[in-house]
Amino acid sequence: MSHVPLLSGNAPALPAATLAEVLARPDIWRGDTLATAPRPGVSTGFAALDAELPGGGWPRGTVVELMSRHSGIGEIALLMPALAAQFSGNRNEISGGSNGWIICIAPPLLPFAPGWTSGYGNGAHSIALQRLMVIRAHGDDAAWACARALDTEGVGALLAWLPNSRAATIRRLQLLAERSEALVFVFRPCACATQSSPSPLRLMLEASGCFYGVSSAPTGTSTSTALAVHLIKRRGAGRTAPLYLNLPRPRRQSNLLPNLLPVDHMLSPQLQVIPHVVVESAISAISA
Amino acid sequence: MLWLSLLFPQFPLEVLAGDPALQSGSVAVTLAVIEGEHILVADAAARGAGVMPGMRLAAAWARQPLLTVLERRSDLEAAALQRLACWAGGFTPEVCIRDESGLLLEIEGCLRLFGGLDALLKQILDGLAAQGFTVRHAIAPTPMAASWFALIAAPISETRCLQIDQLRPAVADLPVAVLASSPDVAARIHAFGLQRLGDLMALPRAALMRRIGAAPLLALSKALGELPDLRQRFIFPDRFCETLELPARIEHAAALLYAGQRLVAALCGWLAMRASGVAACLLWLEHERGRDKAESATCIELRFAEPTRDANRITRVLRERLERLRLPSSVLIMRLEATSAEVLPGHDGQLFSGANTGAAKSGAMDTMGTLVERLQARLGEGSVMRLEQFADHRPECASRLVPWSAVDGRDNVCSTDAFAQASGFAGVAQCATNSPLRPLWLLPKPESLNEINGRPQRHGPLELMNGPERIESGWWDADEQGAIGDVRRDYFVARSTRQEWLWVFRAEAGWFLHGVFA
Repeated sequence: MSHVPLLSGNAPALPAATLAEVLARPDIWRGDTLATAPRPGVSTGFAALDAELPGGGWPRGTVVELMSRHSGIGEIALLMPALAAQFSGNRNEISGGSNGWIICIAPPLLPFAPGWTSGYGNGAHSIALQRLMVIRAHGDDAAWACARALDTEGVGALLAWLPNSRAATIRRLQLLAERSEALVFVFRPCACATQSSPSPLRLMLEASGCFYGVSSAPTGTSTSTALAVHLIKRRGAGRTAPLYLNLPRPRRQSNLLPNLLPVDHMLSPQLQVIPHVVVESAISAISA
Repeated sequence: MLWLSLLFPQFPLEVLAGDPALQSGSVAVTLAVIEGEHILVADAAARGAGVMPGMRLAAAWARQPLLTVLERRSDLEAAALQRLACWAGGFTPEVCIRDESGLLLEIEGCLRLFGGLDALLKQILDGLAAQGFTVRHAIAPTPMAASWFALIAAPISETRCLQIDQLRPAVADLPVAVLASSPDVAARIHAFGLQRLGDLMALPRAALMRRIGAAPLLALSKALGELPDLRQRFIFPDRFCETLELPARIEHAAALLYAGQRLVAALCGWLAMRASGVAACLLWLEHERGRDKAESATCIELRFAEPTRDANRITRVLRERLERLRLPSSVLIMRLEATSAEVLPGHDGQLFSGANTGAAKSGAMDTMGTLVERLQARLGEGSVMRLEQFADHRPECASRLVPWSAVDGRDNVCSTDAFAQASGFAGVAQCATNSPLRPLWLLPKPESLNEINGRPQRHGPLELMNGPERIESGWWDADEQGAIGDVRRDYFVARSTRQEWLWVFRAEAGWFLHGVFA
C-alpha cells in the first residue's frame, strides 16, 4: 500500500523523544523491569526487599498499603529498620533531630514506649520518642487527619490504620502524598487486597510457618519464622511468588544473673519444653 | 505627617446587618435604618427603589412596601467603631476616632513597612471589605483636610494630596458646604455668593470673621496647616475584651463565624499594635435566658501551639470549633477575650530572596504547630498525644500517652535517659544481653486467657518462646484509687498458631495477654 505521510508540510517539526528518555519516566516501564523512581527510596533494611522495589527501597511521597489478616505478625518490624534509620533514638547520632516527625494515626492498641525505644533489646531499631506523635481518631476523622498531616511540612513518616477506608480515600491521600516527602504507610484489612486501589505499592503480609533460616548455631537446628511478603502491586513487572524475610524477633534472653550462660537444649520437634526453647533469630543479618 | 481619613457612609446599616451570604434568598430584603421618623441610611436595593435618606417613613413605605426598617443603635455603632480602631492598630499606632462614623489614621510612619502607599491602601480597603464595611477614603497632610476630602469624594475617585504645597489648591476646590457648622452660617455664606473655599480664602479674614464667626475660619486654618490640629488619639485597651451584640438571634453555630471574624480582626490589630501574640483566647457566647436559666454562657477556648497574631490561623481554628459546636439555645452576645498575650516580635526580612532558605517550601504547607491546632480543634483536646516513658517496672505505668503541649514540641532531653539510668542499663546501643524485651503495643487492660493443660490459649495453644521474666513491684500505691498497686507477674513472649507474637503474663489469677510485638 502506498506510503501516506503522517504530517503535512505546514506542521512544525516535533522533537523526537528517544526511547531512553521515555523509559526514564517514573510512570513508564518495560514489561520485565522495575520502573525508575523519581527519588531514591529509603532502604528497607532487607536486601531482598530492596531489590524488588522500584527505587531500591520504600518510596517517598507515595502511599504504601500494607494488608494483613492478623496483627502482630511483624508488620511494624518490617518498617522498623527504615524508621529507625531516620528517627534514631541513639544519642550518638546527631541526625535524629532534623528528619521530621513520625505520626501514628488511629493505632488499634496503645503504643508502648519501652518497646519503641529499646528495639528488641539491642538498640538497633530504636525510635526517638520526641519525634513521635499519636493521633486518636475514628473512621472518616482518621482519613481527614491523614490528609491534614500530609499537608504539613516537617512530617517524616506517617503510619495510618484505616480499616474502613475506600479507594477514593486512598486516592485523595495519594494526591496529597505526592506533594510531600514523607514515607506514608497505610494499614488496611486483607479483604482490600482483591479490590482495586490507586496506591502504587501494595504489599500483603502473611506469617509463614515454614522454617527458613540459616543454621549458624553449633547446637541443633535454629528456627525462625519468616514473613511472607506478597507484592500485589508495584510499578514494574509483577511478581507472583512471595518474598520471605527474616524479621528481627526477640532474642533469647538470659533472665538469670547477667554472667550466667543460658542452658542449651537439643531441640527435638516432639518435645517442646516450654521455658527453655532455644530461639536463634537472624538479627545478625540486620544489625551488621 | 500624612493622614488617611476613612468614612463609613453606611455605618448604621452595616453594623446591624448580618452575614450577607445568609441573606441571598428568593425575596430581596431591602433594609433601611431610621432615626426618629426619618430614614437615615438605606441600602443599595432600597435606594434603587427610590428610598432616600431624609425621607419620612411613610413616604419610604409608599415607594417600597417591602422595606425592612431597623432602629438606629448608637451604642452598637460606638462599639463597632472601637473594634475598627483596634483593628486599625495593626497598621499604625496613631488612630483617631472622628465623630460617629469615621477614623483617622496617621500613616506616614508605616508606609515603608507595608511597601508603599498603594500596598497599604489595598490592605486596608481589603480588610474593611472582608468585614463588610463600605468606605470612602482620602489622604492629605492635615487631618481636617483629609476628612473634608473624604466627605466630598465620590466613591470611585479618590483624593490624594501628598505634599503640603499641593494642599492649598486642593482645598480651594472644595465646596463651601464642608465649612458650615450651622445652618444660618451656611445660609449667610451662600448669600455672599461664595461657591468654593477658594473664594472664601480670597476675602479678608478679619472682615469675614466678624460676619460668620471665628469657628469656620479656624477650621480652615487648621485644614491648611497654618494652625496645629490636635486630635485625641485612640487609647488601646490594656486587656482585650470586646463584646459584639448580634443583630439577630443566631441558632446555628456556623453562622457565628461572620461575627466572629470581626472580633478576630480587632484582636489581631490590637496584638499587632502591642507586638504580641496570643496562645489562648476565650470566646463567650451568651444565650438568651430560657426557662431553666441554667446555661447562660458557652465558653469556647481556642488554643494555639505557639503565640500567634495571624488572623487566618485564628479564624481557621474558630471555624473548626464552631462547626462542631451545638448551641443549647440561640446566641445574643459574643465576647472575645484574650487571656494571655505574650511578646511576639515580628519576622526579620530576608536579605536575599528566599531561594537559599533550604528547608521550607513556599509557605503553602502548614507547620506542625498549625497541624496540632487543627487536629485538636476538630477531634478534641485529647486526640493528639505524645508518648512518654517513665521509670517504673510495671508496664502500664512505664509508658503513657500524654496530651500534646507546646513545651514538649521543642527538643529537650527525653525521659528515656532517666529510665535507662534508673534501671541500670547503660546506653541503649551498648547492651546486648541485659535489656528487657518489650512489645511495641500494649492492650489498655490485660485480657484474660483460657488455660488448657497449663498452656494459655488464644485461637489455639500459645507457644512460649522466651523465658519467664518476673515483674514485681508497686507496693507504694497499693492503697490508692485507680492505681495498679502491687503486681506479681511472670512475663513470657509467646507465639500463637496464627504466628502472632504476643506478650503474655501469668499472675495469681491466671494467664493474661498484655501486649503485641510489632
